[in-house]
Amino acid sequence: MFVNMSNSRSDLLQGTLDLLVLRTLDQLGAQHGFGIARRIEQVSAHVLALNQGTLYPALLRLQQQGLIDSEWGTSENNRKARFYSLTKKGRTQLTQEIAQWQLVSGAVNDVVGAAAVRR
Amino acid sequence: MRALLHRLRDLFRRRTIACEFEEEMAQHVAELEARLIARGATPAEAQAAARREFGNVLQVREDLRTQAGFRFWDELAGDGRNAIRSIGRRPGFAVAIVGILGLGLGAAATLHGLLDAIYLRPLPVPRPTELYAVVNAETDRPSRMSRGTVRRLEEHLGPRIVAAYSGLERCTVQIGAKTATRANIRLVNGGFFNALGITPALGRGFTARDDVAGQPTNVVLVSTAWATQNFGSPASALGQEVLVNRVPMSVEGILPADFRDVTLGGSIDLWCATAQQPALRIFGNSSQSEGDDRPNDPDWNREERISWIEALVRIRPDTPSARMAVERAWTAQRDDLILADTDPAGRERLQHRRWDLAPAPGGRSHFREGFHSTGWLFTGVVAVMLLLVCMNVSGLLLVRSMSRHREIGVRLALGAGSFRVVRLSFVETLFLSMAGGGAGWLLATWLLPPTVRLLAPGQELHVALGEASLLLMAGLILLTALLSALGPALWISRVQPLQALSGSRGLGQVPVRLSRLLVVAQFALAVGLVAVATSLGEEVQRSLAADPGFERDQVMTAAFDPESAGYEAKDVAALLERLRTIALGVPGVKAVGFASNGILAGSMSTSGIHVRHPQAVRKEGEYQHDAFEPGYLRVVGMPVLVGRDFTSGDKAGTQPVALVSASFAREIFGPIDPIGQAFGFDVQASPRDWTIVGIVPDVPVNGLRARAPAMCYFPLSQTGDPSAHFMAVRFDGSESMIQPGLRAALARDEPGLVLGSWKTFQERMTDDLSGDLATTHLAAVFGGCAVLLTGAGVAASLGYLVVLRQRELALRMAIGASPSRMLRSVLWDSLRTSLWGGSLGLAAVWLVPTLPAISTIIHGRPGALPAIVATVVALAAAIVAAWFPARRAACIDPVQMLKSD
Repeated sequence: MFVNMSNSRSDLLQGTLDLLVLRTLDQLGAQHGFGIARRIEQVSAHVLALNQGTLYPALLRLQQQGLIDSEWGTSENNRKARFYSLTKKGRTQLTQEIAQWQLVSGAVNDVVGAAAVRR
Repeated sequence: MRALLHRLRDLFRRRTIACEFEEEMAQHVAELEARLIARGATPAEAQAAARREFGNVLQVREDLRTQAGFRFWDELAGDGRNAIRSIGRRPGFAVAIVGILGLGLGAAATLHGLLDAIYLRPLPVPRPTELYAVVNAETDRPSRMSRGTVRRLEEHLGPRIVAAYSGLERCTVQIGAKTATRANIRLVNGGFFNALGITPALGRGFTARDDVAGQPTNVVLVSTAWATQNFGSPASALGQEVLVNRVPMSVEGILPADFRDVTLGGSIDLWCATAQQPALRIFGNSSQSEGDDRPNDPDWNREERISWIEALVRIRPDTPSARMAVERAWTAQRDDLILADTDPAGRERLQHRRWDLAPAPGGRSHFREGFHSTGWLFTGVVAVMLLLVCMNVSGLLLVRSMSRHREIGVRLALGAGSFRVVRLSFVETLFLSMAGGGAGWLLATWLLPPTVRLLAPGQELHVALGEASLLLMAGLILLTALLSALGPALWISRVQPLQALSGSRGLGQVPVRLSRLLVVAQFALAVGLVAVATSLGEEVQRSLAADPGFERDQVMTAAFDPESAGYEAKDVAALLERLRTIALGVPGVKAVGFASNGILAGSMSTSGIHVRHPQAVRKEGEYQHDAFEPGYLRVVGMPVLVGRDFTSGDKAGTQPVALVSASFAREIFGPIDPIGQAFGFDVQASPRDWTIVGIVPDVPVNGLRARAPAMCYFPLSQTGDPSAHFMAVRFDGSESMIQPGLRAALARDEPGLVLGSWKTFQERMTDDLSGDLATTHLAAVFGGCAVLLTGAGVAASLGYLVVLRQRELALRMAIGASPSRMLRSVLWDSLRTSLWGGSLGLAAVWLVPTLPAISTIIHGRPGALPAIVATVVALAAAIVAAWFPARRAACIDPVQMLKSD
């Protein structure tokens, strides 16, 4: 019987989906929606809970912002799929967002770490 | 920006994007299912788990729609469909609203078309914004200058910069053996067409060689319209010889069809070089100053003391400092004028006169300045009309919204939100406004030409509704939609869904009061408009009915110009005698008289005078004057109040005598008896001084609306210029019987002389007031529309109130109130509301004309009678409009009504 393994998953932080999508495309190159969702789950070791459908509005948004581009092709399972790839502007944006994320997450870590030490 | 462009592009790819994502998401779910099946799940389990993992598909679709901007547009499109359905359900209501809006918007578009033609349309020349007029720095009016000043200006600024032109003149043209005709002519400098950038449609333009003083070439350029009218086609006119004021001229160029004149509203037939002025004997439209040191040169091209030319200057980025050049060019003329002026005050004025340049892309026009008050009045009336339309439509829509309270309640109860329902109402109003705009556009297209003919008589204006009008119409559609939707929006925003669903229209007296307030405001505006229209009409009637100081019915008059017809000054006296003999030979003609300028003939002369009496109230001043022959006063019916008329003994070589108008005598001499007093044109007393021998009444020679000027009159034979331009004929019987005979006799015996239209003084007075009559007619039309609109507003408001009060009325009838009592009750309701509006309107009519901005447009406060007449008319309209709702109230069946509740 199929068992849902997602009990210990965490909800995705607000506003981080775009960063995850851009980073995935940066690492994997052109990828379809399903591939992007699977990759995020794999890399996060199934920790990040992603309602995979939410990926598509994000993809449309990134496309409208000119950060990614898309092209129809055939997936590894021989299905028709749309492949998304990072644009030059997207790559620049990714660099900035990673720097920003590291700054914020470092600060949060510092606060959380200090609190843990006091306890 | 790129993101915005992407979003905009996606708006038009809505279906494609939706399909593509639908397909993509289906593939995604299929992949998920396949993976789960591969892990051992059954197809059903895999399907369920895949859907769980994918999330809420509906939500995703919704998010996608939002992201692509779909939701807003979809909702708007839905609102549009709902609005169209709603409009379609009540076609009569929609037609009424569209008609009302069409009326207001049509009036606004007509106004814009008119103002565009008068104020905004540039000359049909390349880069009209480069054109500047030389103006008097103090008055901002075009400065007249001598030909010498123009020449210096051309030298300072270089070629193709200065376009100089004389005033509009009339000339006599003879083509072969045909009868002579009159035509409009302008004299221009050699560089005129080059400076304006106009290339003739056929032939050539002027060059500097055509405009050499004393050696002009006999070249005339003609308009396409004139060439076509006289030769059949422009090409046939080219190279033809015509006699202009008896000077043979060769037609060397045909101007483009769209170029009619350098100022607004004129249409020039012939264009000649300024150097032709003495040969063509053109001596009008000038300011002259003659000194004791030398006589003025009859060739105005060589005379600094005669200013007769206006100029436009084309200023390009590389043009030398034009203002400085204008000042430098004027200096030489100014110095010569100062030399001629013996009056120290006059010399001082000349010393301080400055010239400036004013933008003139549409040329300069005196008509524009004269049109200001009519333009403002028309603008005000249209603005009031638009406001009235908005209030009316708002009131009607409010009633309509209230009648849809259940539908609105359902929408609110289903969670639509007030904003959404207000938006729906706005979209509906916008659609109606757009239809109204279309109707208004058609109305304006139809109304514009007659409106121009009415408000700008005699002006040949290029009127058309263009892109600017379209833009204005779009703005007004949006504005009227917003203003009209305000009332309903206010009501909708306060509707409680449960109340609305239970049948209550909610808000107690608020909507009723709002509706009544709109009616009161409409009523006040309508009363104001009708009062203004009536007042204007009264003013015109007063002007027409007032005693003008001359006989208005039994005198026929015509203007003529012996100089342009080729008569030498020495032959004019003989010509006048011949004309008199010819006219007196026509049965019915009793007497004939001639004057230099005449009455209401559009011609005037002014001079500075100096009074000799040491105790005179005014010692000097610029006064208008005219000259006529003995007997002229009897012909035109002007009495001599004090003293005597001119006699045949008052001729050249005898003591110069003068008659003065009553206001001249009062203004100059005050309590001193003016008879026997002397005045002259020279600063010092001289034998040429005029001695006053009589006083005549004040006569509105320049126009009935202008104050009759203080004037002095001289005997024609003593002025040194015996030329007359105005012929007056006193007759017995009917004008229609005399005029053809007179016309035929003069044409037969004096074929070279062209006389203008024969008109009685009454006709001249009516012509003079044609602009005011037109404004009055328009104001009356608008006033009538306002009353109609108000009637519609009253009917709609009361109709709604009757519906609201159905239960109360039924109850009252059930306990014994008669239908006639109900009828009276509703009519009284209407009368009460209208009386409030009427009182407000009367107060506005009384107070508004005291505002400085308004007092320049409306001459004087409307009298009590017009305001009361306006109120009574509007009240009558309100009662008529209230009759139908009142009848409806009286016809309520109480049993039926109470049973249904």
